[in-house]
Amino acid sequence: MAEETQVQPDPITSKSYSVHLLVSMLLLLASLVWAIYDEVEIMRPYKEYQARFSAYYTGFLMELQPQQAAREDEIRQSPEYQELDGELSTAEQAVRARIAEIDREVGRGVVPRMTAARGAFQILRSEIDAQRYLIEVSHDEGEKESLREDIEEIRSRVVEVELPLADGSGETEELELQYEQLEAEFLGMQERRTALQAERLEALAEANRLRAERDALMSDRLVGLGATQIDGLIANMRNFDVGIKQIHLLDIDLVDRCESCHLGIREPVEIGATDLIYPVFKSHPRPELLQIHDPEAFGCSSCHNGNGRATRSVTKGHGRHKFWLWPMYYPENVEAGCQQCHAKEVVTPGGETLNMGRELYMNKGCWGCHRFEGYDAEAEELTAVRQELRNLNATYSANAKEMRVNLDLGDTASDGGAAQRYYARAEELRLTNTRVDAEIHNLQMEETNLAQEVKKFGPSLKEIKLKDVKEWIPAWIKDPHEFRPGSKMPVFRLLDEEVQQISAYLWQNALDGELARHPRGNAERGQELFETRGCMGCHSIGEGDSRMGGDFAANLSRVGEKMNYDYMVRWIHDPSEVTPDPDVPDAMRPRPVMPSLRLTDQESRDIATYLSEQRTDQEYPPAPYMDDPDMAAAGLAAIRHYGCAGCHEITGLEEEGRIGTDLTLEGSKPLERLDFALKTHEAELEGWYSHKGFFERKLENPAVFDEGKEREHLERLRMPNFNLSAEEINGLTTFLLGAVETTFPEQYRFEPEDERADVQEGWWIITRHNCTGCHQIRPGNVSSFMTIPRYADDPDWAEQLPPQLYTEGARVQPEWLAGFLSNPALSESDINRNGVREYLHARMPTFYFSDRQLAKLTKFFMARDSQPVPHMPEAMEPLTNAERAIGRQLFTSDAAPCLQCHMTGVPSQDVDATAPNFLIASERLKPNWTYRWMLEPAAIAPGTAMPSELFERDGDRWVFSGQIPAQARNYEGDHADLLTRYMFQMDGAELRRLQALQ
Amino acid sequence: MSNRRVLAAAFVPAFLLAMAFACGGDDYFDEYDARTRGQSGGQSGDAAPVGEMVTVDPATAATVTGMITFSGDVPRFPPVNMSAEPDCIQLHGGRVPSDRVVVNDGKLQHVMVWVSKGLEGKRFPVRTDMVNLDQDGCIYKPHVVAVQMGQPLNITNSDPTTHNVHPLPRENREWNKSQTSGAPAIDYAFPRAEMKIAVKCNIHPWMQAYIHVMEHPYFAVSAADGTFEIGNLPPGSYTLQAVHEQLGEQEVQITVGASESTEVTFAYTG
Repeated sequence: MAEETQVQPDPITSKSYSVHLLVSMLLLLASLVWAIYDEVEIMRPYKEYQARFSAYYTGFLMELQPQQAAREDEIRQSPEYQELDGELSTAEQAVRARIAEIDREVGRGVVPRMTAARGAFQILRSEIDAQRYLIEVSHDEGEKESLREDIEEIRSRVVEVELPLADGSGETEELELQYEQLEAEFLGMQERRTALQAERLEALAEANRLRAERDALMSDRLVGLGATQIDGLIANMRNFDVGIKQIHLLDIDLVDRCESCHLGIREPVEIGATDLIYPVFKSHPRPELLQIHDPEAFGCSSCHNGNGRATRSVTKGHGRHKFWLWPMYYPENVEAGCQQCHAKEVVTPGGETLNMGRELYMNKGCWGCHRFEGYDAEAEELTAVRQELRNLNATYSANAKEMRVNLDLGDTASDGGAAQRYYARAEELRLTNTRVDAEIHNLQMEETNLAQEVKKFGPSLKEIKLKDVKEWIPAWIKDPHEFRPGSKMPVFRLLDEEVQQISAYLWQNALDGELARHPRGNAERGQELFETRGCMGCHSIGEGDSRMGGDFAANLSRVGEKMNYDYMVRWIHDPSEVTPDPDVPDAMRPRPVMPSLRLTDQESRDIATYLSEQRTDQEYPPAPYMDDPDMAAAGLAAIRHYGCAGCHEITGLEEEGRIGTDLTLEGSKPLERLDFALKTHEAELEGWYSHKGFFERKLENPAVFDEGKEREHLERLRMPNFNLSAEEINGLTTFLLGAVETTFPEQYRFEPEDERADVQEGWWIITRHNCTGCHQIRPGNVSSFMTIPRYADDPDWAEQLPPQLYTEGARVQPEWLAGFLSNPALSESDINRNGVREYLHARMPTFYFSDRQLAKLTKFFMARDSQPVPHMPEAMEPLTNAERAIGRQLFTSDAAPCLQCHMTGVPSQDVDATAPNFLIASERLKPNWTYRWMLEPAAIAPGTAMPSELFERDGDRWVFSGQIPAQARNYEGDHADLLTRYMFQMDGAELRRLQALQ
Repeated sequence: MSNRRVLAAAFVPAFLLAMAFACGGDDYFDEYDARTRGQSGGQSGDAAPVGEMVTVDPATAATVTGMITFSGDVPRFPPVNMSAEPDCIQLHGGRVPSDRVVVNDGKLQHVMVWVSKGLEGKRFPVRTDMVNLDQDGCIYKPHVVAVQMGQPLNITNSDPTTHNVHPLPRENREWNKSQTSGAPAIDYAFPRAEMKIAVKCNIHPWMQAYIHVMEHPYFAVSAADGTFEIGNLPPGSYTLQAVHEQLGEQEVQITVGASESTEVTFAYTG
């Protein structure tokens, strides 16, 4: 049994691992094969993109080529082209013989002869040069003399040369020439060549001009690329190089390989989304943006975000990946990419979604709670100016003291020279202080300006006792959107007792004062005034489908329920008239945003009467608690907690700061610092754990991240609900996504210091004062006025729209503009009118602009039209008596019905006027603009009542296209120019004369 | 045996994992194809859908004739006030009645009648007859004109004074040209269909006319005796609409067979 004990076999020798090894080896081999395949194919998916692109694109171009060729042919067949082409052939034919002659003479005669002469000449010259060198290095006068003789010998040596004849016949002649004769021959030929070439150019000038004209006609008429250019593109595709296409910008360490797949983005042919089957190959949808942001200088991901280096997959390249911090913006937010470099702007042309977000941020009052750099900048500037003032005052005192010291030292100095030095130093300090003093004065003005500009977003609540119906206040605070849907006052989540406490505090701390009593006015007249005078540029009325007017200011559908009549009359008549506040000196009082329409007392009463009839039957329960001091005390805490003072002036809370977080860099805040609270998991699962997801949900429902949390009432999120529309949420989200700390150096950011900065600054004032509610300032603007039914539907009312301001800077003189903006009546006494367009029912209101704002607005309009500031008036040739007579004739002729529409100052005629008075032209307008306006008004104000084609071209001047009066028929000048000069030299006497003529 | 299992168990999944990882490449094209499969082909872009071009056989074409009647009190509009322009007053013997509502013997003029439904998706050759809009006596004659899109409108000035012609479309291009006395006619073809384009003369603000630009050639404007006729209509069922600038719209359903002639009456009341 024991013998049967088995010896354990040695596993090393007895057991075969060959199978293991084989399997391992096969696996390793497979891995290697796989690794190579992976590296070459899988890791380079762009290869497939490129293969497909070059195939599809070639096909696309091949289809396009004959179409374009046909179009080119069509243009070639057009009579204009044919005519030019014919003229070109004739011109070429006319000079062909002479050109050939010149070419032969130059090519076969002049140049060969010149070359031959130069060859012989150069040999002699080098010999002379050699002798000269020897003279220079020699120390022996005798040797020098003999060398000079050698030179003379060379100069007089006769050389035998064979020169081709200059006429190009090909014949040669043998000549015996000396050094100077050779030089003369060579120079003469050179001259001849220049002369012939000049003659050739001259002869071809006409043909070249015609060819350029013909080619210009072709490129002018042909939309898209020419057939030859397309052939070039097809050839490019044939030689297509497969590989990474990347943009590398060293200074910002950017590598973008986007174009490895998005191959059509910059192709010169427009490629539609499905032209190459797959949208990945389409052209950039806004090539005009690439023109100002050349991808070679900006890259792609600098605007779009995403991971520009990644080429492995769509997800990775687009950065739509949990671990990539800057995912590519979705199309609806793509303009977020503009904000980082255009952070100083509130209006960026072409970025309409972003502009909407910025405007909402400003005009929904987000900045009341959340600081954002640039918004409410006046308050911060005011602080800075005050600090600067303190510094300057200190400098002034220090200088004054040092001056006194120097004077004393001078008085007691031992010698005159030293005394003079002390005195000079004292003098210098005195002059310096004169400058400092002037600077202090300017800063003080700026301080006053800024103090007037600084304004909280909402109305002051210090006046509510005079302004509002007491019982209405708690209902409003409880739910403003119940009373006024879409109001800028958001809905807070308040307990009933908080509502009562806040109401009590506001009521008991409001100012007392006296209001003048007013009789009721005429509501019907009031309604007409309300709808046409200008109120609806900002305010709306009616709800739902019947809502009309602007949304910049409150909807007044129920204003009669809330506001006291007498207060309303005062407010409409003069919004700057307020109940005196003992705490604020008048000069420093913030000016209202609402302007004055310069209404009469009666008109104000009529409008107020109409508005006070805008009400429902809603009853408000009595609110005795509003007089309870204990409630008020509790109210103060609630007001602080909810940050009411961020938007409203409230007694006792003048210095209260903002309660929200600073959003200037919110878009680059690390994601984990955005508090998704209990929603984090859900957000990750549903794919909205991102800045975009957070902003969108928070804006839609600011309490959303409280959901599921166990919290005391006062610990809950405070942000109120603005009930924003989906479009508004998208605009604000876009803005916040773009609110990032830029990593780009200065040269990438749009922070100009030239006149473009004036344009940027101007937009802030324009947005804040809703100038676009009445005026179209940028093409595409739709003003609130344009949407009011009567203006939209009735052609007669359409003429009553406030003027378009597309070229305002080119139109008016800056000093005039500043004066007009400050006083649009253009009169101190006669203010119940428009200064320029008296015929408009709508009135340009008087805004309470500070001088600083007036200057900025004026500079804005000038900068936008590239108008130099200061303005140097164009010199204008005085009219001769004869010209004045002709001007008068033209002005009143049937061909120029100027006085039919333009005001003349005669009330009976001005009833029907629809255009401004000529008398103010010379101080208001610029002559060059006026000239262009007469020729093509539609190019300046589309839709204007002023007709086009009043003039026609006659040689190099413009003449009236109608029957020209006898006197003017012999006038040889430009009619439009004459009329401009006539208009600019018009005065009251001349105008009366014209009327007599009519 | 077990050793081998362990080995395989360790190796194979690792290998498969590596493969799977490497396979997770880009399948944009497949995904896009899957997503768009079943959907109609490429986007058509902004261009209007091109309908089928119809040639009407005159042998079977139908005709709609009719009459616009008016009963009750004629809405009164103040007479035209030309006091701002003596040249215009001189062209008239006396008072110039308003052309907003013109009723003769109970028949209403200036009513636009057109086929509003029943011709969708069809295209018709553009009418070539000349439609004239004249400025005569500082009044547009006629007050309402209708043209097919692409059909030229011939605008003339028969007055001794300068006018400006200023159509105020919402969908077409806006323009505003001065036309002096005796100046050549302005020929203009509106490229887009649009109802009720107001035309103004800014120099004489009382002047107003309306232009209707139609997609198809089946329309007419009622004459002074209230009649209208729409001919060469392919047989079928249609909605016929009447539009008057002051008195509003009316509709009737009509069915016309081959070579039939139908009579329709629109009755407006004051």
